Amino acid sequence: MKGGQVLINTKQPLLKVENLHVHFKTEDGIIKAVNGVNFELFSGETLAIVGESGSGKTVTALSTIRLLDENGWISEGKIRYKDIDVLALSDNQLRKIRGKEISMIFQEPMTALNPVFTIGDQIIESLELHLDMGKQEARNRAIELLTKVGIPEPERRIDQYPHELSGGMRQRAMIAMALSCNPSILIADEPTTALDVTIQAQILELMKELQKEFQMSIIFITHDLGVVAEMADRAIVMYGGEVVESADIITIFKKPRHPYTWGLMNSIPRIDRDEERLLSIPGVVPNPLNFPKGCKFSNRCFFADKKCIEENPNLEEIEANHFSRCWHIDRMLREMHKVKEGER
Amino acid sequence: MTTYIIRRLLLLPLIILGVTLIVFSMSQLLGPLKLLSTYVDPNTYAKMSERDIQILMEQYGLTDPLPIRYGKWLKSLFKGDLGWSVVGKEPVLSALINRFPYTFELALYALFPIIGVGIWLGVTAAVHHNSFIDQFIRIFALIGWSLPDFIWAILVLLIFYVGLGWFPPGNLSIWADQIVKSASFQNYTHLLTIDALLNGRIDIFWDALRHIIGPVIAISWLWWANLLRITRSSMLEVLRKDYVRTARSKGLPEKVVINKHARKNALIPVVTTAGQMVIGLLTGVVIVEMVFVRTGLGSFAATAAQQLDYASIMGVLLFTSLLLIIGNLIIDISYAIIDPRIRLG
Amino acid sequence: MIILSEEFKRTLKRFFTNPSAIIGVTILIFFVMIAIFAPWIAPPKLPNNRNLDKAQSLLDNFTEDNKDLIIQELKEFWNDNYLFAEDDYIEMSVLMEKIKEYQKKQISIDELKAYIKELTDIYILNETYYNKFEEETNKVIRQLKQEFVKAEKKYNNSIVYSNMIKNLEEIEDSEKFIKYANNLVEEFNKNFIKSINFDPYIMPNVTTTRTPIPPSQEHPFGIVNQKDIFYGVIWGTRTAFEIGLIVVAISTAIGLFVGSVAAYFGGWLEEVLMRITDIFMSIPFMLAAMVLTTILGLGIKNMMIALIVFGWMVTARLIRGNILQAKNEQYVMAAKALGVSDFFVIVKHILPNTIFPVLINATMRIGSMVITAAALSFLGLGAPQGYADWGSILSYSRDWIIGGTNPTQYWFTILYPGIAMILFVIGWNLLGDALRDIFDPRMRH
Repeated sequence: MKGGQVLINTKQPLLKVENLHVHFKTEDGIIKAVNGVNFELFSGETLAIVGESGSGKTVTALSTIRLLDENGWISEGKIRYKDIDVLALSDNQLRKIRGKEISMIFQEPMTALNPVFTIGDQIIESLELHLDMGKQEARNRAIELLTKVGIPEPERRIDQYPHELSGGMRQRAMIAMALSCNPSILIADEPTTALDVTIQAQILELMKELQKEFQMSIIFITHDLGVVAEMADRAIVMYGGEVVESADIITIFKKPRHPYTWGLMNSIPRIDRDEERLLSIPGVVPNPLNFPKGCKFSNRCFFADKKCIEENPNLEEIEANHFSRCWHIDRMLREMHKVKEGER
Repeated sequence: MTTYIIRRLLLLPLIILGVTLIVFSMSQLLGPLKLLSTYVDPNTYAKMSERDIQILMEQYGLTDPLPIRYGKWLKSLFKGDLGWSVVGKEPVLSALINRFPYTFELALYALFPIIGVGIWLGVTAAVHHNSFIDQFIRIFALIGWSLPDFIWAILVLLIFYVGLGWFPPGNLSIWADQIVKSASFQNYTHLLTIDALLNGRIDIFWDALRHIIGPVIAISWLWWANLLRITRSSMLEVLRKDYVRTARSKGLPEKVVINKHARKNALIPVVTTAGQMVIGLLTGVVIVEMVFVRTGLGSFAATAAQQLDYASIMGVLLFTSLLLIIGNLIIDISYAIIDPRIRLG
Repeated sequence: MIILSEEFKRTLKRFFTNPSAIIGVTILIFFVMIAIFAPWIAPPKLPNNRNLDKAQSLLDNFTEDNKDLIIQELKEFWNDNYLFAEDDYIEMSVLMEKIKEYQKKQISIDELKAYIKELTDIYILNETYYNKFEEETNKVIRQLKQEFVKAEKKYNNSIVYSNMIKNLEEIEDSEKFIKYANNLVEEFNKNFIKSINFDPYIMPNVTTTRTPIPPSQEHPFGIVNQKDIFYGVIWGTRTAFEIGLIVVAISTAIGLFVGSVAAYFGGWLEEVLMRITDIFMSIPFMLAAMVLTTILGLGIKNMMIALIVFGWMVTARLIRGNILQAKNEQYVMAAKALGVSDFFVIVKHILPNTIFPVLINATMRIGSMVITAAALSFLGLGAPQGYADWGSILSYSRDWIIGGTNPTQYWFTILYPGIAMILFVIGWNLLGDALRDIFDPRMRH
């Protein structure tokens, strides 16, 4: 370590995903949901995967623990957790990782929890499985966890069924279940999308506290930029199954360097800007059965030209730890400058 | 749940009443002359003059207006008087009660293969969706479902009795029958196999069992095919659910995911169709008992129908409907118990 | 121009790539062909009239001397069938007058009845008219009027035919004679068949022994109880389609009506209708059908009525459940918010999405209805004696196989009708299964 240099990344990443390709077989053809995604996750940090529906963000996350639907498969790529090659694991070994090292919480807690078992049962199940706890010990721990996630009267709630709890409490219960075995990574797939705004804030608060307490990393999947701003240290933006931009959170918001990211930023109301209208990105996501040859965003991009339509740009590191996939970032910069000037 | 059960219980008398109304209406289609035959032996009035027959009809209330007739008929039902059975040569009610245990025994033994095989194969087929096993099981079930019960029953009789000599028709061999009918044999439950055991007669037990296996095979084949299909599609649906994915994400072994998490949910809709199965059993019993020449409600009904013994067939109808209603009630209650959403909702 | 939407095209594609669908449809088409071409595949044995046959054979070997013989045969035929036509017609006309008088209350019912009895005694009318007269007066009067029309026709025919024979007598030229006579014989034959109510569905007796006879070239499926099994299986196909389609169509219609009315209007109407449905469902189907068939009497029509009366409930429940679900769906509320009228909401939005399970269910029920009908016939409760129905044929075989000494020698009595029935039901079940596979995942979205 040289003096005076900012210590960036000498640690080994906790999770490393390289060149991930995921395909799905459907009756209409093969869908290429993920096309060459790379990212790393370090311990203690929160990584946001941002994108709209169909961008491949959920599939990417599911792939890390190989939880794909039966018609999907990982056609290419490497997934490394600590020093384990996840794709080479046998089913038995994989199960030791799921729920214990890497846990996941889902968007809709009503359907993600089994309606015929109590929430206590479902938490205790994990504890018994991974931590070899006895019944009583597990039950006590479960009550502890419920308290930790902020569910009042945990001794009573533990014997209740999911439909007896409110939406926010169900999500807390699911968090308790996911954290029960102290995982290193928590994957949260749009956990607050289905909740009221006020509950949303509470859940996010809770997650931040727990992250500190349990010392874990979080992969946060969302399309909501407000949540990203609140929770994430770093973010990767996905479009059409690819990473189009990745950087730390401040950079993403203040210095977006991809037309899609910039479009996203412009489409949310911002307190720090004085705007009259929100801009939306015209057009729609291309059909995943039939991606264009070139840049997948080209049909909606203001700056696209022939080159964009013909050739897909590579993900380039445009500055330290800031990556972008675009041929004409300079054009975008000029436009951004114009806009800024116009605002003055 | 209590409100649910109370509601069902309150509706019970209404439904029973409705059934009696339907049966009564059907009987009235016969016309007064034929109805008279249900009360009085037709030979006695065949030679009578019209006037005398008229008097006879009035005597039995057959000329009263409909509602009064219905009321009187209901009253006699409550008193247990369902008329005289020509086929059984005894009052209809006692004819039914005497034959019911045989049918019940058959249905009981049939339930095991039906439920066991049906659910097991249904789950297996769903888990190995679209694979060779799945297709094979589906074809197997399709044939079972498409096979008319009487053809299958005859085939079973052909193969296992005529061909192999294993499972003879009838309820018991003659020697066993004589013992059972003798005074020394105590009929505790009226179920042959169980009574045989209770009386300490293993030989009779085996004999009764030998006679019952054939019909059980005949009846159950068709119904486990049905149960299989319902279990399979229910299971397929459940396997798609989010909570199954959550269970996998927790690192649970696949066996646990299927047998614990998925199956319990999949069985809930299956239980609701158990009501259909009871109907199916009551139906299949008619054919099977006829083909295997067994005593029971089914053969009683068929014989009575063939001989135009109206009192008997209506009695059977009422009796079996009652069985069905009670059966459905039990199923509904257990459904409420199994599904916590209903139990505590 | 029909615009083929994407949805429709995709559904078609799924249909044609689904093996169950293809096999099922193939089987059904096979049966449909048999049903349509039954009269050619297994031609019905038309009844013969002795006189006409003789006349025909004389015509075929025509000589001048035969002329008189031929005319004699024809006259005999006319005598046998039309001699009393005039008298009958007169009697029936009087009956019609009496009926009119009765309806105008000019004579009493007893007087009318007495006149009917007279006609019954001299065999002009069937005794059932007299027996049922009191009970079902109006119905019997209607039937008597039909009998009158028949008597009138017969009388008219008798005159025409007698004239035709007279004309024949006067023809000198041999060729003309032959032609005219041939026409006459054909005409008489046609009428003869019509007059005795020939029913091709009744299986003809082809031998004298009742013991089953194994398949031969003339009777490819064998003979049982004097009836040609091949004939029975072929014409039985028509019966199967008739029973299956009619019963399921009508019972589904009833169920649809009850269920949708209940679901759409809700409130006490729904409660009442659903309770009625519950009550019907509390009666075991097969037993109820047995009882109703026994009460109504033998016959295919009565059996179908029994099956329909107890066969609509599942459809009612199904459609009600689906409509209730659909009523609360977003797209319905959206339509209503836009001001679409109730009727259109039902037809355009709710029905298409709720009708598919009903169709699937109906398809599968065709198979099971045919089985139930066959079971009833098997027990002797459905089709009348000798009717071409697979269940009836199987009931014959049951006696021989169970009662017989060496049952396997009569294998053909079960095999052919049994296979026909099994294939038929498999066809419908495959189709229903395929429809369910095709439509279900779509509905889940």
